[in-house]
Amino acid sequence: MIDFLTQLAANPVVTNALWPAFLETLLMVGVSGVATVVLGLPVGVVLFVTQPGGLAHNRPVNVVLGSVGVNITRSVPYAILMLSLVPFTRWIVGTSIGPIAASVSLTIAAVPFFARLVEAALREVAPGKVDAAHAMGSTRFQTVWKVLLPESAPALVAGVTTTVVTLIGYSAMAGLIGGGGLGRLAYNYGYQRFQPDVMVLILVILVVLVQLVQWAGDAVVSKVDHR
Amino acid sequence: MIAVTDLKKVYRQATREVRALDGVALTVPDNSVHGVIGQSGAGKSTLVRCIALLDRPTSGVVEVNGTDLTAVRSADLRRARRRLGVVFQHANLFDSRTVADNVAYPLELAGVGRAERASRAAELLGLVGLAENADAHPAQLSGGQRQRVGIARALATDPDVLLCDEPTSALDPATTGEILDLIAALKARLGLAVLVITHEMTVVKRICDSVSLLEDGRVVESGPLTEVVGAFGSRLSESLLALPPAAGADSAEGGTVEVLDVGRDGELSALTTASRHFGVDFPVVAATVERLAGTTFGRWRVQVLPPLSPDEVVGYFSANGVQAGVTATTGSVR
Ligand SMILES: Nc1ncnc2c1ncn2[C@@H]1O[C@H](COP(=O)(O)OP(=O)(O)OP(=O)(O)O)[C@@H](O)[C@H]1O
Ligand SMILES: [Mg+2]
Repeated sequence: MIDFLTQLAANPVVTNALWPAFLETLLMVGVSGVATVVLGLPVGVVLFVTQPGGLAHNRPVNVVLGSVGVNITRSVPYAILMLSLVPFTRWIVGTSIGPIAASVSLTIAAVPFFARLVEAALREVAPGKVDAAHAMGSTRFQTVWKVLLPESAPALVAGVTTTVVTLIGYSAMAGLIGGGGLGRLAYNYGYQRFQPDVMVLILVILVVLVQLVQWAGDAVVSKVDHR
Repeated sequence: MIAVTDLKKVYRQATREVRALDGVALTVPDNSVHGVIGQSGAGKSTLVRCIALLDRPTSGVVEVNGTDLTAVRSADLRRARRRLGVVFQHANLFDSRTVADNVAYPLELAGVGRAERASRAAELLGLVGLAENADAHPAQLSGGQRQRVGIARALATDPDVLLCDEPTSALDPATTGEILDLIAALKARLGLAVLVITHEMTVVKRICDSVSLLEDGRVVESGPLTEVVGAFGSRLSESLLALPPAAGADSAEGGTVEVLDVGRDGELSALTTASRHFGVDFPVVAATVERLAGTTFGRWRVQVLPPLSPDEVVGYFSANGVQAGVTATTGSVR
């Protein structure tokens, strides 16, 4: 065991490549995570308010956004979505290589996923609270902003956690087509050059990372949950 | 004041139409409580939702202080709603806010500044007896306390009108009494026009000045409490002066007669007078006495034995201005 660790510590892959790869993974997950929340939250809200009987029910918008936008994107496997988005990514960030480029396809894959979680979270808010908001004279915007979102905060935060964990998984795949990061490292050294110790180490790092994210997410949930 | 005229609400479903409200009219003057009672599905919640414009009535007029709410839209409607507080069965508080912030919510909408909101919320919580719980979250309160917060919140914008949809249906009897007393006290203090929806007779007995019976979306009986209770044989009178079940009484010899005594505090019951007149006893099968809106009501069901006939007894009561009727005659009469 000691042997295994000293050997690993001396491995140039670990000493030189691991830290930058780890940072690349964090960058991919961080950028796409923030972008997903910023874009996915409004999409989820629009899905919720435009549903039949909703605050601003609007069948065309709901159908186009829900069926076409969200469901179609969600039914494409990430590996294929990522490859098919290469031209689009090049157009947006000028290159299809690197963590920032990888964040484009990660975001596009995660937004519909997160939007559905947002929609489900809003649906959990008791309709009576919306009635109360209206009876007191709230505008629709105030009902969403001051009532629906705060009331669903625990579920929304849990949704962010789930999304970030999913992004960590996807980021490993994104690494293979030039995103870099721990996924790339595991593929290059752990798989192609057959260094099982590197593979194990990266696995452990990913497991710990996911645990940390989940733990932090749960901590925030219990902070915002007053039920 | 609330004035509802010919209010109709039709829900269209795939295959059929539900006439939830079918021409409802009622008036609630300031400084009074009007109860609307009815069975499940009668349209009680629909009535409140239509008056608060949470649902748009199919037709009809809903006036609050002379403004027809069905005629105003968007910003004007939101402003009009500040004159009208709504109390819900399950309080519908916002769990993410503290008690004080729940009460301050309508003030926030009205653009009241932070400091003034805080002092007004404290004042309102004092009014409902919850000054100590300002910083608690709704989940930490009992059902009765939550309803108090709901009432404080409904009163935040100084409304003239309070709509309550089954405000005590989720509460135990003791807490029900407290909440009803609170509503009555606030009505008197603030001169509110209060509309209370309920399916419980105790609510009507305890706080209502007037009452309507709603059935299949129509008002079938309505009036001041003393009037409807004093109307012999009316549905509200029979429900508010409910008799205990009297087993086997109807098969008794002779027949039974029912008598309604109104406002005979300290006087002889009509029954005693009749007993002296006919020189016979009238065995009591069932009876109830209630004091409602300051008037004592007595409802007696008594047995009339041959050779006296129930009709004769009823005739005597009518001649003396006492409401009475035959409830049963058996074959053995004459
Ligand atoms: N949104 C709706 N869509 C279709 N029908 C409805 C709707 N809301 C109410 N109804 C119907 O209208 C009628 C009256 O319902 P309402 O909820 O007003 O009754 P209620 O008197 O409040 O009953 P409860 O005592 O059970 O609360 C019922 O037949 C109900 O099925
Ligand atoms: Mg109801």
